[in-house]
Amino acid sequence: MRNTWVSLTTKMLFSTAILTVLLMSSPVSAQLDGEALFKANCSSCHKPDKKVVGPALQGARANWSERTEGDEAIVAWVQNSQDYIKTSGDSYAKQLFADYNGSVMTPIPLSAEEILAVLDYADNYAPPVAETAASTGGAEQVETESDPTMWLVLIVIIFFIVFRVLWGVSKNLDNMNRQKDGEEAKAEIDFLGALADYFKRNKGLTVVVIILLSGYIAILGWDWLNAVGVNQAYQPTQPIWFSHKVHAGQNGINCVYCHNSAEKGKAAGIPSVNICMNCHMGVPEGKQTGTKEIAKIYDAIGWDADKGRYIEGYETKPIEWVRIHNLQDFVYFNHSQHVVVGKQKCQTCHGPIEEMDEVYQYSDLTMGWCIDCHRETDVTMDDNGYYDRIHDDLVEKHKEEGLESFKVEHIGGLECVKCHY
Amino acid sequence: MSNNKIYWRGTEELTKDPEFVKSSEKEFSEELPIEQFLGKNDLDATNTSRRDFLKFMGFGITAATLAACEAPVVKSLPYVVKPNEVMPGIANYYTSTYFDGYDFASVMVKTREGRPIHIEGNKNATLTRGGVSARVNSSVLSLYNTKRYQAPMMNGVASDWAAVDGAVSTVLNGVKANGGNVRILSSTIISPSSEKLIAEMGDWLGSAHSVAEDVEGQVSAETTFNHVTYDAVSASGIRSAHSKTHGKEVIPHYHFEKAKSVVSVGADFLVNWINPLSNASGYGKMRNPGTGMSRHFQFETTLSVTGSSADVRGAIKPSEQGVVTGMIYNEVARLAGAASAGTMSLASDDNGIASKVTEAAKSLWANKGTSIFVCGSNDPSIQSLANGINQLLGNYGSTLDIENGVNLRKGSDQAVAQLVSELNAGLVDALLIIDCDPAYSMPGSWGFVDAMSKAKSTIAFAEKPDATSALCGIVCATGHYLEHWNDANPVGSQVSFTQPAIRPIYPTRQWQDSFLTWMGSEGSYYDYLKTEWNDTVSAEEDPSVIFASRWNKYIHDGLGEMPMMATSDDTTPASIEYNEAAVISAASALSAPVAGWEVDFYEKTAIGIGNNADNPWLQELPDPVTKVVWDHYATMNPADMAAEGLNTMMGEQQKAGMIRVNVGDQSMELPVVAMPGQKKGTIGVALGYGKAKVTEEGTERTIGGNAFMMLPVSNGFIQYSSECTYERLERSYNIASTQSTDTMMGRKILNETTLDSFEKDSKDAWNPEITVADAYGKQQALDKLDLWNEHAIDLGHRWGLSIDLNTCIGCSACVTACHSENNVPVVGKDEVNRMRTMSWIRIDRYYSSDADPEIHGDINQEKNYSAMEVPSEYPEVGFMPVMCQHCNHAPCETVCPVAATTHSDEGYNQMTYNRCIGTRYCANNCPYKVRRFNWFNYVADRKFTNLNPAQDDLSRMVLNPDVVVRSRGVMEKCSLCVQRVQAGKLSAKKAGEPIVDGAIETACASACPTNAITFGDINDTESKVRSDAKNDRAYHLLEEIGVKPNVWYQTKVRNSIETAEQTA
Repeated sequence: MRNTWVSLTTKMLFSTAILTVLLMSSPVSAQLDGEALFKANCSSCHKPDKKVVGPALQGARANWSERTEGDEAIVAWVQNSQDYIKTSGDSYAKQLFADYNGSVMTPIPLSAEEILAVLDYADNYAPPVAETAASTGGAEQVETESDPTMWLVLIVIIFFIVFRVLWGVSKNLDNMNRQKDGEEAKAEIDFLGALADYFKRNKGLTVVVIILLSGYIAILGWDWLNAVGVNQAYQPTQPIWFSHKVHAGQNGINCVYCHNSAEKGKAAGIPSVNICMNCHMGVPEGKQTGTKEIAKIYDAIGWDADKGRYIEGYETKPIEWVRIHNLQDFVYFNHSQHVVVGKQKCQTCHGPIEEMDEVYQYSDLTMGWCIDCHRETDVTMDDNGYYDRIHDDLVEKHKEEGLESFKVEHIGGLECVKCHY
Repeated sequence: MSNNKIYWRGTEELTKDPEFVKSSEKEFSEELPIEQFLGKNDLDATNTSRRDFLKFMGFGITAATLAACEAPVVKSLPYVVKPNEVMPGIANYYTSTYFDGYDFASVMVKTREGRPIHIEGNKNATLTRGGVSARVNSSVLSLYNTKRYQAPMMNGVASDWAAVDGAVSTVLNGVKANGGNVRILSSTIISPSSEKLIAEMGDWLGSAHSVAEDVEGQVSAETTFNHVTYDAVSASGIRSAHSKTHGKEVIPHYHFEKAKSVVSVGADFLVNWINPLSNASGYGKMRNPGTGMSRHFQFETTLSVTGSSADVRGAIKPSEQGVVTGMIYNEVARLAGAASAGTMSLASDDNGIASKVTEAAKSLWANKGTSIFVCGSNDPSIQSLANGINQLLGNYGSTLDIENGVNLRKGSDQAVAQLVSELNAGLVDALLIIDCDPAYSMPGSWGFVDAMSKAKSTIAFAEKPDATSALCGIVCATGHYLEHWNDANPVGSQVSFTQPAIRPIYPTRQWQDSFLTWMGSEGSYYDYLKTEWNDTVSAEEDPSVIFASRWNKYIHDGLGEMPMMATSDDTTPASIEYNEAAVISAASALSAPVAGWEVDFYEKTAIGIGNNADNPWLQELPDPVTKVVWDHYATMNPADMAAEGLNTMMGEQQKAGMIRVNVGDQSMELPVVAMPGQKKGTIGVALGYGKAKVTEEGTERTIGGNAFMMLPVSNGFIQYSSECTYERLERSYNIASTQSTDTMMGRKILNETTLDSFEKDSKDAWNPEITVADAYGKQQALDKLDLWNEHAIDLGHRWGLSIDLNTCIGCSACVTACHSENNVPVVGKDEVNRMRTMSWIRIDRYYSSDADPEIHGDINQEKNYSAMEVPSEYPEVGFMPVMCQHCNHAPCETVCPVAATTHSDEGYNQMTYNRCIGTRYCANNCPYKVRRFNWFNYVADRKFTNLNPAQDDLSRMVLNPDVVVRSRGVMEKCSLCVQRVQAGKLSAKKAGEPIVDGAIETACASACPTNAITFGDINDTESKVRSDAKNDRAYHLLEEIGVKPNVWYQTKVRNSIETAEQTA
């Protein structure tokens, strides 16, 4: 029993440490932006107004400063909670520690001012009102966004009906005229027959219409062939109803907390279950799906939610996610190249992922799409020593055009072998 | 008349049975159930016409096609608990050590998602200095060999470890309780911890016995325990000679990096002899004509890789090795004023051996203390003379280190013979055979197979089934070295660690773990190893550093130092005394040269002693000299073959003649391949064959025959040559080789000069600028005339290669490294025979020709042309690695109709597989013939099921995930390892620093033990490849066609004998 707790706490400690280190790399602004500090350091376990893994932060500063007469205690507690318990022997702190199942809060290397800025931010925090309204967007919006060709066909049909009606009217009027003039009504001919007659008489127009129609069909066929193997908007049902909206959007968890290899290697990686457990050890229930979906990760890794510990000797079951973004084997794509060196946001290619409950393929991932971006995107060469020589060479080469900044294509971003080997 | 006869169909007809009469009209007597199986009712019920059927089928096919356009659902399974060190998509590197009892190398294993995919040298290794051989880097494929033992075996049936442990315990406890003789027969073990473990096993068996004696007070039979080391290719002659001449049984550590003069008699020291990787890297350092150029004499029978690199090569009969050594001894002794070893006379001298010997001795003497004499013989008498030569030259202590000798090849032929006689006498109760195959590789005359059957129980430790393990009652599957922990002490106090790069794929157990289990020890061999190093090292080194961090450093670096205590308890005499009398008496014991035909047994660069003969990468690696793949053959001098009427040509339509070689009562039938440079009157036969089988298009064949069986034993030492007879057979045999031309036809392909000319003459004399005639017939410099517009070659990077033909020894490690890195398919003998080999890098071998290009230069006359085609009887040889030259003005690019091969601003001639439609115009237009076409889908075609490892679910794990596996109908070629360059650029960009020269290496450059291949950025002013390209020795292959390659070659400079005469 004791061992499990120890391993659990070290686990939490370790994971939060990783998170902290990860998030610490983001620059902290000089004005002590409480929100930024909160998001960078605290948001994976705390919310300003709700209890998550750790307690809600709203009112914490007032609570502590009243009790301990000053901010020193809470600063010490945040900076190193275990140390604080040991040195102060504060019974409230001990109780708090026990209330949260003895999960150790990672020592946070922030200064007193920074910690207080975070707490002030939490105190002044008001939940965004528009949140629920915004949640109706996302995937459904994409689905209802309709195909322009459908409208085109509809317009053609309407025109056809209008034409038919007008033709009927004109025929009737004509007949009425004839009756009035005492002439015999024209023989009954149907609309289509008349149309055929018309085209027979006007051969030139027929040719033009046939050319236009076959051109249109050819374009349709071309588009259809172009769409072969393109899986834009592919949105498979995943084994776990995992919402990026909840995690990345509402909870604001940094993408690379879970997809951490996006900054290191070619694959962004699907997080392993132990990363989920860093938070879900303390979050057994979700707002939208209750315990149903979270229970699936417990089942995969063997976590006994009732007893709050791992089942010993459990045979873990990997989660069979359905892959959405699947480049062909003959393309080499490296996430870290784009994320770290190119400084691209995940959303550039993956779309508004923080608004998607269920992820769909936002971009078409075709070569044309890659090339377009490589033509339009500037390479950040300024603070990167690698580019020094190349930048000078390029400036020299493009002296006449007077170029100072360069697109990916200028450094060979359109060359076959950069992606195909 | 006879036609009145009536035949009945049965008695029924005869009796006019009514039932029969009724049915006799019909063809079938019974109603056939046609309706039933055609389902008449169902057919009637529908109104599907044939037209409808076709419609439906048409729709079905279209629907199926449309459905196929939808991407299949792809599952992605992340780890449940991800190991910290594994990051999908990122390679991990682990240091380890390759040692199979024969080859040693400190290596670096590249793993992806936990599976080893590539092996390179450990660049920090002090012994092998980052080089690998083809046998070493191919070993990664052997890890995924499905023919390995997948479980321990008992009596030929797969078993489990509990049963095997039980059975072995019965045997060992029986010996412990009742006494008996236990023998361990192993290949050379260089692991100090393993040796200690074997000793402990002996103690455990013996000491338990003495305890029983004390307690029960009864006298039982004695337990004896002995560990016999056995090398398939023995060097015990060297050890024995040193014990005679220097009083220490040792193989010296040869420092070729200090040797300005090297003389070798029959030692193929660059690829096969003792410690070849260390020798090759040291040798390579002394082959720089600018800063220091050694002179290398080679006297040998079969043209070896080492002999091909020699400045002066003399072809001698194997039985003349002693005489030649003696002649050199006498010559050196004369110069040193020492006593002669008596008169020596050659059997025949058709290539100026006598004068070459004099020159060799002169060269050695001129470089006293910085020269090396080595001899490949296993005759202690010859080796004693060799020691005498090195002693007279004062090489001991400088180029030869016997204080810190080599621990490789510890085998003792006498001890093995002793064991065989013990076995024959039925004295051995338990025989444990570790990592060797004596039933295959012992001389047939020792009769080991018979002897072994007399052991009461036999236990083999083997990685894969072999001749010996097939005969053993119990086989303990040991697994592959990449699954093992170990330490290795190859030389002096240098240690190299083996760490596993993957968990055992099958339930295998390294033999050390089995020993520990049987001895009742709790821990694993890893614990044992760690304890061993903790105990011995902590005491020695800085005690303030905790062991854990030191241990981590050892494993991280893969290298360490032996604690002094392990060597100090040796019984080495304080000063090593040289015994000249032993040398002189050894000279009198030399056997006289033989006049008749002789056979020379040697090891192949790829196959070695056959440990990995079943590795398809090695079988498909062309032999550096003959360029033959997938076969075992005899080599003869073309002159001898012509006299016998054997075909000396190579090629698809040229079948090789067959001979039967007879040695004593053993014989072997082999095809004959012409080898210029082979001593006339001798036949070369490689060892290591007759072990591996290959299945080609459904038929299995054993590749070659076992030449080990034919090895003679003289005075207790295995000899690697013998007198023989041969007869020509009427059959012929199809041999596949990758090169059918022998000479350069007087052109500047492999540009070569002599050191003398290099030092004295201007560049124009030995590497002239090439000029071409313009439209007006005026000679112009090459860069003045061009068909193409200039590329922007000065912008950014421009990757290129420089290949030093002087240090290239032809060892072919680059070829297998390239195969491993770039997923080059194995295509098999039949395809190679059709010249459809897929190698991205090939090594061209050129023989010199006697035809003088000055005289025979007019190749328009057929007579002269033919003369230049014929290599000399004893030619000089050069190796030239050729890969895609990445021409700036590439002829392949202009002819591609779909722009699948284009030029990159970084200097690549890029090949885009997914755009290629397979017209093969590019290959036709390539002047270097380096483009390879995928005639088949090698990863799926049935023809390659048993050949191409990529077709096997386990073996395909070796594929590099960063390089696409090409499909049928696609052209491919060397990419300059663009995946490595891209990875190197990315890490530089991430670090925000410029690329450091040398940080990116192609697979071939990294593998090269002599650093003959340099890769780098030509636009980087600091790069080595840039300075190489501007070097006087630099030239382009086929420079005159003006394609402006990004690959430079450095002119080969031969330190030939004429120079010696002038400088002496």
